[in-house]
Amino acid sequence: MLDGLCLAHPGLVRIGEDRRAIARATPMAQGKVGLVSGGGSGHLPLFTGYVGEGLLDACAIGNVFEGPTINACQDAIAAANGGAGVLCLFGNYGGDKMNFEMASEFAAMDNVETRTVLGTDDIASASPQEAHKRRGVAGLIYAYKTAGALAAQGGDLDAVAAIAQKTVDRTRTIGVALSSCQIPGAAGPNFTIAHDEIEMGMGIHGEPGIWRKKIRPADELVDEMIAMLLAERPQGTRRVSVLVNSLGSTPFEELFILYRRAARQLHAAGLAVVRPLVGPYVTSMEMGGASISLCFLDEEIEALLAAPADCPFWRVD
Amino acid sequence: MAITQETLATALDRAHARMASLTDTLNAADAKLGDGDTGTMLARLIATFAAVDVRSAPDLGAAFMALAKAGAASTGSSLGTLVITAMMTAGKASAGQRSIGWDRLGALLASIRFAAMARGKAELGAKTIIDGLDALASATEGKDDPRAIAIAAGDAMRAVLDQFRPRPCTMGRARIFAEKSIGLDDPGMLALAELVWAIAGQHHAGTTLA
Repeated sequence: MLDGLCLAHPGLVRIGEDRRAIARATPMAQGKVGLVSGGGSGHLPLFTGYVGEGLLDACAIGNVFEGPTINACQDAIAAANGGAGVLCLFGNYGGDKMNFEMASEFAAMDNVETRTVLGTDDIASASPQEAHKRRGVAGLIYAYKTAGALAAQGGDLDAVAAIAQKTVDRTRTIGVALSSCQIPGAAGPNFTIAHDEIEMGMGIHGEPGIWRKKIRPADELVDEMIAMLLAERPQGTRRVSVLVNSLGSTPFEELFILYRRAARQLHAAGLAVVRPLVGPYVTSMEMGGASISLCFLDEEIEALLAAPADCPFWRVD
Repeated sequence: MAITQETLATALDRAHARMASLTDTLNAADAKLGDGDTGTMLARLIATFAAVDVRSAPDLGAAFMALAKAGAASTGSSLGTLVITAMMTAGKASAGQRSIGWDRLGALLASIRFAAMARGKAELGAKTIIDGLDALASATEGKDDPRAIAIAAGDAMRAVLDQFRPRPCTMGRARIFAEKSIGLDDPGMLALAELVWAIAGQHHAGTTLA
């Protein structure tokens, strides 16, 4: 899979002894803060597909639904080291945290300064009071974009980490699943769900959601999802970017049906929608369903979202 | 009698053989609370371990470190990283030694438990593999007869699963659905128990074979 990705996109190369990390084919700019991420396979374009100009500099990739190995994390950090430090920006999962932590300890021995920011946007995974415990899902790509843009503009390590954290803090996601994914080699699907059922809050690996009910009209689902997301709207926010994301097998046609209703509801709530994203940005192999992410904007975040970027799956001119 | 590289190789062979029938069981247990890949990941990790020639390592410590290194290139899962941490801890404890006495096994397991807690930022009582390791360390402490250790370890695994099954998970992905975890085994703890039984030569029900 990684070989095919790099062949199709010559701007990417596999690196490291285990070749389980992806970096930009062009040499790392000296003096620029590096931005790395990582996580399990099965979520393309996350994580490796976001390596590119104005986004990630390198990415460690694990097996399907597993964190990247310590070796791969070390390889990614080394590739993204331009002498100004490296920000490790990844989802809030146990294996990813442990392995990036160990890799960062090794990097420190080589005098490479690192910071860590965790994606925690999945509102189904913990209450607002325990927001730091939430999982990172599709909304993580907003932090890639803002942190990547600031790093490209010459921001220092603390500033890049700060904008990544602010973007995470202002991003919320909720997902809904209609069918399961299946890990290669497993005897059956990760979970079973009847053809006439739907589950709200399902995790990106098929973790149980917050309710399962009989299937309902798309508009009703979107209304509930948007209401849940807006319940955590930061005070004074007037502008928002929305990501309607396919979890794998949901086609564009259905995503646009969801977006149509989401945009209407956001407008009704007094929010201007800026830079909408609709498509398969963070999948869970062939899972049927979609997630909606809202990134509540301020001037700084909005400007960085508008900055030029180019990777295999996201281009901003 | 002592724990040697031959002991380690035999344990790995037994664990590897057990995974053939355990993979789907652990995947199913994990699917109820998490992403359903514990069995698949562990099967791959233990196959990686089984392919390491620990008998030819310079000493027992080097054998454990070779396992840690092989594992670090094999998986990045949280459970896998804790297993790798265990191998590194055992490797440091037995560095340069051809064998360690069975009477040191309890202390070694306790040090592995502490290392895993530090790496995983986990606490006792959260219904994770840490509680299983704690039970294992306590059960084997002060014992020096391998047969008595095997029986005590197997019994401790049954007891700790029974103790925690009615409790909610308060750590990891499963804590999100704490109420759903009541009545279920933690997949990591269950995996540890199954492998302890396999290495100790016991059936699931606890019958000692060897």
